[in-house]
Amino acid sequence: MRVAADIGGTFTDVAAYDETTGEILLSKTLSTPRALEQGVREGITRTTPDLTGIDSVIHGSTLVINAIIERQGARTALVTTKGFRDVYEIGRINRPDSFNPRFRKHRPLVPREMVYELDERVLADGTVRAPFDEAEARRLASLLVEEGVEAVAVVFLHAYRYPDHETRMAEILREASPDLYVSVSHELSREYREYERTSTTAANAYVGRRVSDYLASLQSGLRGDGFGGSLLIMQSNGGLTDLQNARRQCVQMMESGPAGGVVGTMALCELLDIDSAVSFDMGGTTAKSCVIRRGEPSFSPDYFVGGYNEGLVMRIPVLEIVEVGTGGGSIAWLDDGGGLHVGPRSSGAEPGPACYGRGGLEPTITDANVALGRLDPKRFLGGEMVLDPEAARAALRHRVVEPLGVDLERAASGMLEVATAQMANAVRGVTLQRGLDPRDFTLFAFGGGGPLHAAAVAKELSISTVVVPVSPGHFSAVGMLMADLRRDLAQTLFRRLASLPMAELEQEFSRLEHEGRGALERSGIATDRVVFERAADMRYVGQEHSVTVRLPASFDPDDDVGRKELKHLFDEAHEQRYSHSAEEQPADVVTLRLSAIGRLAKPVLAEIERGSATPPASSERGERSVVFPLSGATPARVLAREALLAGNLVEGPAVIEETASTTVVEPGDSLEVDRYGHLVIHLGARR
Amino acid sequence: MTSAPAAETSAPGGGTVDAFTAEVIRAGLMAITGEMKTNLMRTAYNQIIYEAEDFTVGLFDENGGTLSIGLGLPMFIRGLSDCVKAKIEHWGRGGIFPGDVLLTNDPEVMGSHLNHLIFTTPVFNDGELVAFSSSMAHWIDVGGVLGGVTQDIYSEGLQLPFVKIFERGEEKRELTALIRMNCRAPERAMGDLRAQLAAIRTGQRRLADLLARYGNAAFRSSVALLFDQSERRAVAAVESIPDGIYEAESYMDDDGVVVGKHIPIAVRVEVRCGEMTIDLSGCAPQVAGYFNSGPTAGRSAAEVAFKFVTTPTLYPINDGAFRPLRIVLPPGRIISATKPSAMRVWMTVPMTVVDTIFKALAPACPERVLAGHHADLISGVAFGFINPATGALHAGTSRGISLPGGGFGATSGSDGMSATVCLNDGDTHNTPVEAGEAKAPVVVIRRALRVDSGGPGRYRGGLGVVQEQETLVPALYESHVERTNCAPWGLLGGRPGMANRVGIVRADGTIERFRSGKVAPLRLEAGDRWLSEAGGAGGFYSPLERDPELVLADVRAGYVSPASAERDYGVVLRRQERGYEIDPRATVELRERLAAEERPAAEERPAAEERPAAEEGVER
Repeated sequence: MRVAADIGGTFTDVAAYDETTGEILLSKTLSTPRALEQGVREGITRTTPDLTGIDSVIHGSTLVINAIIERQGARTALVTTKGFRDVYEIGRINRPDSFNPRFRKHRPLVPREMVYELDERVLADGTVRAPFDEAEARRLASLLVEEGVEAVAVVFLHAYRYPDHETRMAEILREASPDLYVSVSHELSREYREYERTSTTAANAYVGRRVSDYLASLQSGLRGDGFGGSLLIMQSNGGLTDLQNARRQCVQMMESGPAGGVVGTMALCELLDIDSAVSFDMGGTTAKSCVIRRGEPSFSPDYFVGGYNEGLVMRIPVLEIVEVGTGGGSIAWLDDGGGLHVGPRSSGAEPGPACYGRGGLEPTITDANVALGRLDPKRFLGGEMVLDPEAARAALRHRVVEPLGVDLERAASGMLEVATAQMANAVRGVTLQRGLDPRDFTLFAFGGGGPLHAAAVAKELSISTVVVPVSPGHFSAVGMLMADLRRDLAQTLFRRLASLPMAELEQEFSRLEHEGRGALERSGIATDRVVFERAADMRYVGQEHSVTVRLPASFDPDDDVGRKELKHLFDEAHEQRYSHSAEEQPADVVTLRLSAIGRLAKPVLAEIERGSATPPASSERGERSVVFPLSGATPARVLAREALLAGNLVEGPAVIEETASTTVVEPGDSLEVDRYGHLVIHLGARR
Repeated sequence: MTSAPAAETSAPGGGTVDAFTAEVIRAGLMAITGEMKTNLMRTAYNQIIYEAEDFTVGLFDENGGTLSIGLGLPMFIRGLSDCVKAKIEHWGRGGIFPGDVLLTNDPEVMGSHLNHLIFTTPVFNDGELVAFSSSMAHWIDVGGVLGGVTQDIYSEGLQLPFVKIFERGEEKRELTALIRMNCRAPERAMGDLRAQLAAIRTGQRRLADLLARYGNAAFRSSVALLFDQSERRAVAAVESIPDGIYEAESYMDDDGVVVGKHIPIAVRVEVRCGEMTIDLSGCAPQVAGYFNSGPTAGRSAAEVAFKFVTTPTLYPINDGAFRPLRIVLPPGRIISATKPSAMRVWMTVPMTVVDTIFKALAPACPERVLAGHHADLISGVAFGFINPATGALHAGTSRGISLPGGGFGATSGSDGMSATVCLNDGDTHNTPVEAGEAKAPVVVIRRALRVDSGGPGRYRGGLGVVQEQETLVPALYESHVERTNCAPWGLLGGRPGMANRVGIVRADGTIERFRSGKVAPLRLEAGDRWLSEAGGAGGFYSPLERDPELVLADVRAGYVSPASAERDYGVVLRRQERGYEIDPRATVELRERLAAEERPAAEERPAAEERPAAEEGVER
């Protein structure tokens, strides 16, 4: 038995895979922010009452990101190189919100009075210019303990190259008080750029104690329930890590929830033999998109908690997910100039959309869907919740219909047009803006709202195929079941390629592989096999930005030949990314990257019963009037997803209902059920 | 939410659109300019484009009005539109065909230095010219003399009049060859040319798709509606400002030729019945040195100020939002310079013009403006390193760490941000110390906030940054830093922040200071250091009104010295075993006394100096 538990903002989703039956069991419970651990245990018990049969529990949580956004971390100090106390506050000095007189910069997690300098200095080539001052370090350590500091981040310049001073400082701090949570920059990132490393290390120290304690108590709680397997933690890189490592590198958990959906999409791409896919994950407040090509997701060059404009940068490997503030709960509103907008403000879980009947008065996307007949008010969440269509219509009338002088149908469908345009921009962000043509991609729709809006979004981008996986409403948790163990390592080198001996390159990679293998072995998790992926960040001499180049497992040991191979790969990668390259220009090798992946056995998806082209009578739920973008109100066939069989064909207009989601098939589109029960929608031409 | 005016507009072609279609088209325009922007950054050859974001892309209507621009730098808010309009006038609408690419870098048209080449291509649908797609980007070199202060445009490089570099899709290769021959880095130049073409063609293709889908009439009426919506928001903002005439003055240090001769900047803003007129006639005449810019830059300064004051967070930027603005700018001023004035450092003066407009408007709409900021890029750099063995000068891009970042002005409700790029720059980044040291033969001694550089006020100005760098080999240093004399002012009782400053610290500890920030090339020996000290920004309202607890917090954090807390804020602190605490009685007494004595003179007070006199060094 393998179980995945994903704590989200509103719900805790659990997916349990039973190897003997091939079955996946699901549960959805309300998250319990005050007692997260209990919520997880409760969710697991719902799918798997007997915990003794579970081999592994995979866990993803919004705990880390919430602790940072809500500023609920430890009393943290930062120790850094003399002369550089203000690196954290100065940041990168950019001002993206360019015309706003009240723009805000990032707000450090450690206030300036808690930032201390130490006399030590290392240069870019790793030589020591000023030695580490032991006596001062000891004085500082006892001062911090005296001040009641709970956590300390240590960041020295060029520590990616020469970590000894950081290591020594950590030892001295731990000697001063074993209770201190100490985080040193080179353990989290061995890449250059001091502000980014400082921000990452400070965040890790800030949340470390709390997250570490939570994970430890979750583990012992599960043990108490009879669980004897291993607890694995979902990371932002789409891979899993062991508890020990997660407790030291808490920031790696930052985006674990969204990563689950991407990993699930990757697994389905492999299963269905799809080369290029884009995920479309629409929840209550946002829609998110990520690209997968040749089985690989793309990674963000930069990741910010709290948004680009004023957020905190984290130098951790994070899947490149573009998000827009458009979800089911997004509210339609008019600005002072009469412009209509949808989101980013959301009605959230409380009071929720007007149709929830919990006091919400503002019209949301969900209300528009109800008003247009796209959602059945009686079958929302499998009928657990009855929606109030009159409340939805009233909200629309007061806030949109009357001020704009349009009819109700136009107001509701207009809201969906706006939402579609915005959500299509998220997909554009990961495709067109990266030089990729969305027409080459299959769109995977999940999250509560994904299947409802996928066809419209896909048509905006001339995508021809949409896949709605099984249990789209639980897909993040299901995806986590498909993840491998993964450890990403990096080492900044700063070397001219022309003078880099191939033997040294090989030695550096071997060292990283040794470290990666060691980390996977120490986790104690049995893997099928360990694979390594090598890459290097390279640039032309004089450039600042570099390109990550995928490298083969080995090079020709002859320096001239090996360098030529490497240079050629870089030129190609540069050409692909920037549409030009310069064969004659010399290159730098900036940073080496190694991913150590411990392959785990994947759940084998069970095939569903095969039927004919015609859906069985048991799936028929009659017909209702649904408003579609071009055709207006049209009678649409309603079908129950759980009764559909492999090979069934459905021509739009139709609506496929299931517990946590609804799939809309527009007129002119056709849907096919594949052998695993995925809904594959072939889209007609866009208008 | 207010009740919205007419939501539907009838299209010139007969159809009607509603607020929903307009919003979908708005999202579409933003996505297109966003894609043009990433496209240009992705394909550009030179770092100034893809790292400093020294470029702008945009879509324009058939008259050259801005539909949406993807800005690199805020000061390009007007440049593209004015240039597209000039191109339409030059060729006439009937003289522009599908596949044409219209090019110029005429400084009188685009207002800035010759490195800015502006490419434009028309967008046709159904045989009709509906829009334009355009891009400007900073080329690394377009010829001209190297080093020193240029004094006319001819010494700054290649000038291109209005030319079609592509005519109906056909490249004019002789023209490309001519451009190529005039650039010191021809490969990079041609690379940037291709990148700009790719960006405008992307814009042209995507906009043509959008037009094909909605039709020209619906598109035009959507745009009309979007312009009207933006206009209503801008008008509402202007209407909230009391009618009246508001004036302010400031000055620049000098033009780099006549060092020490101040350059006056005077603005006059008239607000009347929902309309604002910004009159820049009072700005100094054009100067001999390279600090001039063309009329577009002056108009951009006015538009940037107007956008800050009226619709700061409204996107995309379109012409509707500027309808309530009138600009008066006669030719021949430093920001409306005529041929053959030099413009290489065009970007400096317009920033101070923006700040001065805020200063004028402060009494009228304090809640919409900012106090003065450091207003310069602080470009004191080692522009070349000398090989100690051969004596050869390597003048390249590795200058150590640049752009320290200075203070941003306080507002009527918040402290100013510290360590931030100046107004001319937007999403521009500094150099990481670890990156700079890996590239150039320098060691950075410190990158630190300047204590007390933020102008005191109820809301404090942001702090500036000092960067001190040591060169490991002999090097040549030069600087064209401005606003070292005219400190960033405070507003409505707020005090000025510290001004920009540069200096040299010789290996033996001697400090050299300069009359202004203009330093002609100067040799540094190994072990010498140079200081780039970015100014802070002005405070807002009297510092005697600042919550003493906030002053204490600033002292604890080290933003403000205890001495300044007492002298400027009237907050008396007692040193305790573990830091400071407020002496409430002494504070009340001191504040009463200071309020009575000093308030009338508050705005005249010079900025507090950071270093003790002994460290000031000799002035050169």
